[in-house]
Amino acid sequence: MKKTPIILTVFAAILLAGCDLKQDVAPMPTFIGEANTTIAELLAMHTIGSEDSFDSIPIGSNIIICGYVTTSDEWGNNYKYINIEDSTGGIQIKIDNKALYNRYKVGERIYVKCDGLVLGDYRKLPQLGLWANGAMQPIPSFKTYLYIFPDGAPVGEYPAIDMTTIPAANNIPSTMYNCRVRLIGATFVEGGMATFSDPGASTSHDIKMADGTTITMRTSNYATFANEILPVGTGDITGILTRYNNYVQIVINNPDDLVGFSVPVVRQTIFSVNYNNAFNEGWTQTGAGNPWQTMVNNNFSGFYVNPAVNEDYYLISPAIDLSDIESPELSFTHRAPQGFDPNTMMCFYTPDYTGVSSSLWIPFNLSAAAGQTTSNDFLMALPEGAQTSTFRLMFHITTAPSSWYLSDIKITGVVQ
Amino acid sequence: MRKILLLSILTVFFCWNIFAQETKSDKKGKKTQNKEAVSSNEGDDNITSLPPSIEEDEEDESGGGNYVPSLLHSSKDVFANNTSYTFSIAYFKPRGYDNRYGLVFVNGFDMSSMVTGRATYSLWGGLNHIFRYPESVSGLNDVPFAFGDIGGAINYNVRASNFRKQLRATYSLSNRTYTNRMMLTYSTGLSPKGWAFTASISSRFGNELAYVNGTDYTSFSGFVAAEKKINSEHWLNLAAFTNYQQRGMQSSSVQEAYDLLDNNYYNANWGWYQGKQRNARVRTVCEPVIMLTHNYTPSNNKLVIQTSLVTTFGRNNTTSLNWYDAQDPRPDYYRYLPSYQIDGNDTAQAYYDVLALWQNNDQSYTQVNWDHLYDVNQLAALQGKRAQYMVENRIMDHFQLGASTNLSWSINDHWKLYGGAIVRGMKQRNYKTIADMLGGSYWLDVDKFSEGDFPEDANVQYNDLQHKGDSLHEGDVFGYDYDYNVYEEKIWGLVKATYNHWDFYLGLQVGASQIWRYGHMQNGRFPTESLGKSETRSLSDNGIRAGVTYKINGRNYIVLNGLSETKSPNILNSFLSPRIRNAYVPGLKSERVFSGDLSYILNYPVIKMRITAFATKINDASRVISFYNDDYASMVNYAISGIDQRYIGVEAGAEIKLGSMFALILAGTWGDYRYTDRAHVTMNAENGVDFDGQMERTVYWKNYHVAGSPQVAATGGLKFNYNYWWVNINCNWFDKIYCELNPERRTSTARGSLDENSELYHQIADQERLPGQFTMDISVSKSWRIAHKYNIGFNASITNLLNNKNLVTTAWEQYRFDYTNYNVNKYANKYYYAFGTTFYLGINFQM
Repeated sequence: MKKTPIILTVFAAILLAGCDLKQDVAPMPTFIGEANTTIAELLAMHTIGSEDSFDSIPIGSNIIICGYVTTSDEWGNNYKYINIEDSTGGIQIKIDNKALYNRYKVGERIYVKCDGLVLGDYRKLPQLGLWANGAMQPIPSFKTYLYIFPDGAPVGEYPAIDMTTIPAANNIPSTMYNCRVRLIGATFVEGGMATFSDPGASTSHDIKMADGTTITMRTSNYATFANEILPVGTGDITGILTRYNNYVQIVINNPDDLVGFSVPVVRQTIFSVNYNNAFNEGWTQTGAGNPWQTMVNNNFSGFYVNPAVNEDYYLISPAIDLSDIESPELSFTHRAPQGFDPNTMMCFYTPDYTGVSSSLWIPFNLSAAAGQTTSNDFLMALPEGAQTSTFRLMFHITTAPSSWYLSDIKITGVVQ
Repeated sequence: MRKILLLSILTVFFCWNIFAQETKSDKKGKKTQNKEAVSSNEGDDNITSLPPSIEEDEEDESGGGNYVPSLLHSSKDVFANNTSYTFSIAYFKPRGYDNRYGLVFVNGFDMSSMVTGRATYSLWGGLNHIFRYPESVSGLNDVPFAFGDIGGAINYNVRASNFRKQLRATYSLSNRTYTNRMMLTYSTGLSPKGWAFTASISSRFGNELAYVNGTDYTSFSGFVAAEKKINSEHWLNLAAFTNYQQRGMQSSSVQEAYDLLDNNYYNANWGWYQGKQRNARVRTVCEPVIMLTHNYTPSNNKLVIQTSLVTTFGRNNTTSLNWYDAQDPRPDYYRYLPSYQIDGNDTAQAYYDVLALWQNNDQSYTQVNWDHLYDVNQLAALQGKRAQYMVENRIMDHFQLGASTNLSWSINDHWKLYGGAIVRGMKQRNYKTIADMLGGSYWLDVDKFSEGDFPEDANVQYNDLQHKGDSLHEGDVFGYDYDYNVYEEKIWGLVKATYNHWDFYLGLQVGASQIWRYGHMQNGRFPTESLGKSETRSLSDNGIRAGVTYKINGRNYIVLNGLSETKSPNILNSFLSPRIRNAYVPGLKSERVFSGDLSYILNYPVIKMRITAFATKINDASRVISFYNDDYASMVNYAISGIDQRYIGVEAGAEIKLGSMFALILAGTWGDYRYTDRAHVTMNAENGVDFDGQMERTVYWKNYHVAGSPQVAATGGLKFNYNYWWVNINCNWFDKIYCELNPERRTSTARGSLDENSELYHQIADQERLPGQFTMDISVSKSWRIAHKYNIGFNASITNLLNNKNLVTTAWEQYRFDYTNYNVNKYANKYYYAFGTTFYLGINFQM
């Protein structure tokens, strides 16, 4: 029994040794070595003058550059490349992969072993890549480990070079291209009128500086903000200075790179109808024989009604929350092939629906049709009392035969 | 030359045992024979070492200066006895050790695979009448038939004379992996002329009740043994057994698939073909074993020498789908799941379409679509193009020859010497053939991941440069073809002393193994290091162990054991890319094992109890894993070396008698199994990309848990025994079940510059712990003796009575990692679940 304390001690030690231990943490990747060449020195190895010219960096030359990442493809505006920059200049590195922002974060220091890479330019914009199949190619993702070495944690955005005027393309030193710049006192010529990019292709928008010089902002149609409206007014734009032959351009990472502008008022669609499934999504109708129906084909998508007898036929929307909407507007298109009669074809709204017969229905004044086959667009601002969370629309037809077609029913407004 | 040398050694070794001791007394041998005959007549309870019969003696408990009987570890341990079955549902591994640390012997010969290091129980699957009641030693206790290992050891005695004269038949019905099992065994017992014969046949078949769809099961087993008593001292036994087994395999899958189908036993391996379930992954194994065993027991009865000459050979092959320039045919491939259709917050129509296919369990989508595979191939054949899909056969043909000898010598009343030696050699050919072209016309043997990556060197893509233009058809070898060669020699000894209050032992082992690879193909990625013989590596298997037992009295014991050994790595984990090149894992060396345990054992008539604290350190282990790496667009081999692990814990078992009919069972273990240091990785891409030394990585997994077994398991049960009725009820709890790690996710490369406090970092780096689970089992058995001649018995058991279907037995992180979007759910963890309620019914007839 004298051994009991010893045994208990052993057991207790075993139990204590298994108490929660801090799990290991992999350190951030670090590069073992030093840069021996500045980006400016690297760029000097290549003469920009002819389009699409290239210079190989021989294996054995042991060129290592170092810079901080300035681009991010998180918002889709930079595709298959990163830019790095040191105090002497910037360079674009082409990499055959997407979502590079996960691996190369803005502000992260990157070392590049340049041996075996190719230095060139695309339309006079300096680039670093790999030679394959007779052309400069992005570095394949699985080979980036041979050339590109992240080093430590991101240290924040690299300082931008302020610009108040835009020189001619050839008057800007090649080392300044691919650098992060800030345009002071810039104005979008199409501010408030155009989106960042057209849907089908990358788009350029002119920017006017205070002194009247101009620069182009280039935005990809794959950018997540491509459909946003360009801001209005004057502000500062921070992005990467690029060129396309003799055009000077700027490419931003995301709209947060625009500071000091006014945000344009943007109307949004608050309510629209899925005619494929409207009666399962809250639309109801009353009247003998269910005359209100939906129709979806190549020529028409909407509601239609063609009563067989004179009776009240109601089509009522689901509840629509307009409580946080400024300046709501109702619009739809309607057509009455047998002729429009405002006394038998009516549209109402109620701010507080309690039932078909018990609600307070406020009529809209529908305009008469110009012809039997002509569609009529209706657009009306909803009165202030309509901005409730229980707003509903109602269409009402009473006589037969008188078919009526409704389409593109929607409410737009500005979300507060 | 090596084979000739090995054969010579084996022959001399064997003959020495037979002839060197022919001159012993025949008279005393008769006494020995009678004793063995009695022993063999104990039928199914023929345990070669019986449990201590302490409760039967009336010895003074205080002990004093009197002799106190020693413990016999080679008996049914109170913990092991009450947990080995009840914990098996959770894939519990005692003390968390890999199975390669638990040794299995048959007639004293090591049956562990020389490739995997693990015993292959399927070699004698179905032969339950023969392979039962082994001599077993749990944990670190000293083993009388081998040097042993940290996971204990068992030895099956399959000598014909070991089975009393009997005819025995068993039929079983189950809803687990097979439906029916039939076994028939006949033994002659030892005849007056000194002959004994035993034969057993068995069949397991049917999947009508099987728990998992598509898992057809067919197995036939046979055992024959003949033993001749040459004289009173020498016995010669020839035994042969085999098990032919063919079964459709179950896949593991992601939780998303299980949830969509509301079935944790979804098996993605099968699909409908011509009205039948066809499994793409069918394993067929037939590896016979033949062993000639000589037993020598001189008349003084103080020495026993058992020598076995053993050969095993045969084939183990598994089919699998292969495809080229075509969609992945596996239905649960990540691109076919609804989650893959979600892009950001956008749930496109494709999401709902795929969701509906899964929720409606459209089996043309959720299972292998064989018709589609045939259609694609037949269309390609019509156009004169190569096949795009096929079923391949991954074959392992092996031949092993070896011999072992073990002795037990009672030197005097206090000292005993155990010792032995084993020599084994094995060659295993690993290759693939085309099993089924699925309607395709021909196959080209190119590596799809290399094609196009090396336009300057067209040879890179070919798996066999010597047949690079061949059109291949069914039965042709392709892909890889190489031999593993392994030789092993060990000699061990253990002396044991027994005194009044102290027992102690000291054991030593010296051994080595030699390995090399021989390539039959000249691979285009490694043309100069794939064909022919690799360098030979020799690794050590040395060990020392010691233990002491303090016998407080006849009821209370304290046991302390320690072991230190080097253990050579499996050949599986010794080559960087064994399929295609001869290169070894850098820094390959034997792992170092240190282990100790301390037990307190209580042995009263009404209570038997053991409580043990254990601690084990395994350093310098190595492992090679293969997987598709998105970043390199290639299969890569990930050779991990310097794996350091420690296993600590406490295990306890108690059996308390509650009157004459009932006994209370309490058993459990609490363990903590972790990696204790960082490991080193050398990556090798099979598409031949030269990474110029950049493929070295460090795995930061210190203090992460070693997965593979619940680290906490406990059972409480009640045993009832009256008039040959036995009823057992057990309630079990399993916890600390961890997901096996993908080492890549614990590297600097995977972390990148992520903040270690960020949510994404924790999603990537944290180890999943599965919830603890409760199960309950019940079993009933009864036997009748009829006309003093026949025994009829039945047993019935229900496992997991409460139908808990949430017990994860195996969980692992997929090795693919989404470096593009860092989306850890893209290649989600995979799981196997323990079956819900299963039953087993058996009837047994014996005469």
